[in-house]
Amino acid sequence: MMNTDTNQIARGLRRRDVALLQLLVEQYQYRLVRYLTYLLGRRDAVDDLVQETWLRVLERGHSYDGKSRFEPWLFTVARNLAFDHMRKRRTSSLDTNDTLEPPASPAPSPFEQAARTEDAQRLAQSLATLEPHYREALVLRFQEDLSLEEMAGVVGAPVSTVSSRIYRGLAALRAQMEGTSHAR
Amino acid sequence: MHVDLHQVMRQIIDKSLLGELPAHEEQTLREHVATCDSCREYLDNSNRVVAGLGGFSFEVNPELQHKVMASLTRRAQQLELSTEHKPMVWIYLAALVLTVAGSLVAEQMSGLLGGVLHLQAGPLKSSVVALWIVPSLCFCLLFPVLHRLAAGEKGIS
Repeated sequence: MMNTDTNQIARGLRRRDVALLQLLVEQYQYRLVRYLTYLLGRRDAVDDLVQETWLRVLERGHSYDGKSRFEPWLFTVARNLAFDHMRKRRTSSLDTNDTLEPPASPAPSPFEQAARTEDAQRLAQSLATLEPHYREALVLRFQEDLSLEEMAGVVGAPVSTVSSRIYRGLAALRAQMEGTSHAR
Repeated sequence: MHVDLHQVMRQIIDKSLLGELPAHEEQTLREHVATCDSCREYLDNSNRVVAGLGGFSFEVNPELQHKVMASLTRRAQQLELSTEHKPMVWIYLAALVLTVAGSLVAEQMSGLLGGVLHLQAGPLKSSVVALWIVPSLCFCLLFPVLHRLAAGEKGIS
């Protein structure tokens, strides 16, 4: 189902067609995992959020009109749930007076674990410390191939803000590359 | 006003990474990086960053898809059931309103009938309550219980 017609998806979601949802889950599962990992910078809550995202797609699927691509709509749903999750996490940590950052963990970040090339390994550490907004901008632009307008819709910010986040994210990662290229 | 040419070129490189570069700027950039080592290095590093972002492969829990589909199927059944229930709720309410209205009318009619037929009002009203009002109310209230039992037999919780 490479080029699933967006109208077909919209009709299926209105009918709450589980067979269509299965195809969508198969098609977008990896991309959803990747997007949420970039957004959260960790893996522990990603599986639960993926599951919640698909449930939300089932429940609110009627709000997808099929006039635009499905991916930005899906990422918007996932993003809202991820931010709710982060808010709850922050509140519960304040409730328990656990305001101190956890000690630096020796466990590798999800980016270090996922790096498959030499350059990716170089970027992994910088990505882990980059602000979530910048990581999100980079993954949406360079991995998901969303247009700036689509990204603006997903993050709920003007195109200029989205562009600036991409530039800043790139600048932070480029500094890492510059360090290594001078060292070579 | 002094304009730093390299700074301008780096802004053009940034724009090129977003695919927003007009053709004339593309030509200017190509000519500049052919002669400027520092801007060429900036371009190369930028391209390496973008290529490097494609060098990550995140592992997906193999159980995740199965878990997602199980919860989607369960939730879809629940939603279907709740949609089926919506019109039934209105039917129950309508039946209850009609029963109450019918009972009030029956109660009034029994008073009138008692007067016409010269019957004692007390026993007549008791008979109407026992034989009409109470059974019809019970029957009406039995509807949702029967429906719930039927749904339970379908195996949908």
